[in-house]
Amino acid sequence: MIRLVLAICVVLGGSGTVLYISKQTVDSRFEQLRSLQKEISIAKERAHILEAEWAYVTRPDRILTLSSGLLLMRPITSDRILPLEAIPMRRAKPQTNIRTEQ
Amino acid sequence: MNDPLSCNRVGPVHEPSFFSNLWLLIWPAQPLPEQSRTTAQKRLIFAAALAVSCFVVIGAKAFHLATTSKNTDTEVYVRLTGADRGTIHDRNGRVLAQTIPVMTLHADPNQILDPFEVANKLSALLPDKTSGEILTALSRKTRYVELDRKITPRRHAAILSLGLPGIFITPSNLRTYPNGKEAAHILGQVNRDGRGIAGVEKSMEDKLAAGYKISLSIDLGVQAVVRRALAKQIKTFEARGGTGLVTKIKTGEIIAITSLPDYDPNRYAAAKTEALFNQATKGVFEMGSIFKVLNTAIALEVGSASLNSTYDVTRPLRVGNFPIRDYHPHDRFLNLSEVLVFSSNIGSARIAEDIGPNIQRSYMDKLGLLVRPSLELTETAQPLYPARWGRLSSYTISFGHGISVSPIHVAGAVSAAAGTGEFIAPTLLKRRPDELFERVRIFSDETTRKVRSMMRLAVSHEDGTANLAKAPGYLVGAKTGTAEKIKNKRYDKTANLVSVVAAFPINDPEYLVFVMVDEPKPQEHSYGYATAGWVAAPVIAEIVTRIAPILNVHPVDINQPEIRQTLEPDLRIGEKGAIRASY
Repeated sequence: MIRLVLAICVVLGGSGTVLYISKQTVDSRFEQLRSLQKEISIAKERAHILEAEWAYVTRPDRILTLSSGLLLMRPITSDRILPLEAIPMRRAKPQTNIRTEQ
Repeated sequence: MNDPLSCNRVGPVHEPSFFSNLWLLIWPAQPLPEQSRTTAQKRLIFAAALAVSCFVVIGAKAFHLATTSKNTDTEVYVRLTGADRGTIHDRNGRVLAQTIPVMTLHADPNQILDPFEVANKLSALLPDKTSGEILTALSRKTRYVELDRKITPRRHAAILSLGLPGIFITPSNLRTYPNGKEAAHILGQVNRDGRGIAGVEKSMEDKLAAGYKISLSIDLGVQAVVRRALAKQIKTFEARGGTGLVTKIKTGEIIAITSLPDYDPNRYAAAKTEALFNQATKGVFEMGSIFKVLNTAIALEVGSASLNSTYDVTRPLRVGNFPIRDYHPHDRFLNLSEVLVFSSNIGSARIAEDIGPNIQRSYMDKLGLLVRPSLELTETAQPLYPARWGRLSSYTISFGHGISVSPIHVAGAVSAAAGTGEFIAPTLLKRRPDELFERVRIFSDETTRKVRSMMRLAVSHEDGTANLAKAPGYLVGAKTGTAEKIKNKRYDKTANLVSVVAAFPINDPEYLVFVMVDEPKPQEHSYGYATAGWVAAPVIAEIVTRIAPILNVHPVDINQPEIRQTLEPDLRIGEKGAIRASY
């Protein structure tokens, strides 16, 4: 009987150890996950700030003010726009077969 | 070896098999009594060693936890309410509204020892507040006083280094609108808790609060052009305000929508009441002659008029005591095209007479002019129209009086009459290329082609009311509308609401542009006129010229036969015989 009890104890002890190790692994993974989530959140916040800043510095009003003050650009008129077909394409070079006499 | 017991226990001497050895290993034979003590001692030592090693491991772990490891269970990364609110983008992915983390400066007046000293020290670091204002704030009987919603990292460090008790800096969120006034009415606003209270922020609250991104149909570049062109004209004509709208006819997407005066959504509290009102969607107005486009289209569609129909406009049309007059009287009969191009009220009323009030009302209903628009905004308006749609009502409605609708209603209805012939409800959300949406066929292609030709003539003909809407290289078709505003229950001749609706390229319309200016004043350069042709039509020309390259609409040679053929070739205008609509 004692042997049976011992055997059960050993099995229980083994399972307990495995369970403990699994729990520790899960905890560790969970910790990693939380850490990653935190990093993602911080990265997202930073990205949001950068996106907002980019949108702010490229806002149409500012671009228009800067371009009219610093560049000599004017609104494009219709006579400056041509369809692609209107541009003459370079002619393909005629293929020449040169035979080298041996 | 002669012991019979041992012989019995061990059994006959023979070579043990592999399986019997394995069984003995798993289930060993009961030891002899003299050996059992030794076995028990060994087991005891083993058990003791196991117990000691367990305690060593636990002790080591406890030491490790107590000395090196952080208490991770209580470490919580603070996520503030509303931090994940979705971003609002324009159709090209440009940010229109974004939530960013900020640091908020606040105080607990109960903990402040010397308010004078604190006010003096903080006023040097808070440029928007004087020492007196801070002192007043700190004198309140409360435990929380917000001193600055957003402080920069440099000021954050400087305030901390002052070491003032009762002054706190806590992380917070701020909904920011980087483009300032652009599309302010459409974007709307959030309250201090980060919940939408106006505009798309309110109507799309559920999605935005859940972190979804919203892509609007608005093009920020086009929006800026429309807003700037309209603002310039409002200033030139000393007007009260105005509205500009660009929609994509074939999908119903709103590319630009502006209502002036407007406000900076980043400073919502400072906005004036009239600036908060979105005239483009919530304002209803008598649109005037723009309705002649719809009236003409209905007449052509139901067959009550043809291009050869003529109407007597030589004298005012009198219904009871109500005379209907023309702004520019004619002493001859006008045909259908001339009624639209010269904008004859009498002619339109006579066309409506042939249509009949019931048919006219049913078409207005189909064009969405009698119901609140199904726009993704809460700021929409219910149109005003007569409860009894009788003969007189049908006459006045034919030239845009007696019915008040919003600019967004006009965009939807005219897109159907001058565009594809299908009514598509305008939307503020970007459509996917393969998206299916509701289209209701109202007008035939033949009808829309004739209407387009007439609208083109209103621009291209020398006597057309909209010839200042001409944009070189781009085929613009338009119709003007000048309506007197009602003041003290009477029409005020000095207060006009002028508008122009245009479509381009009119041979195959892609975009609809609507411009309305509220109460423009006559100017010297406009020869004392403040009508739609003088005020709103030039805005159309400027908008079309500027946005066509952005929207990938190529300029065309109007003399190309294939373009001419898409418009009605022979419309008789004036007494000069047939002229071509594309000219």
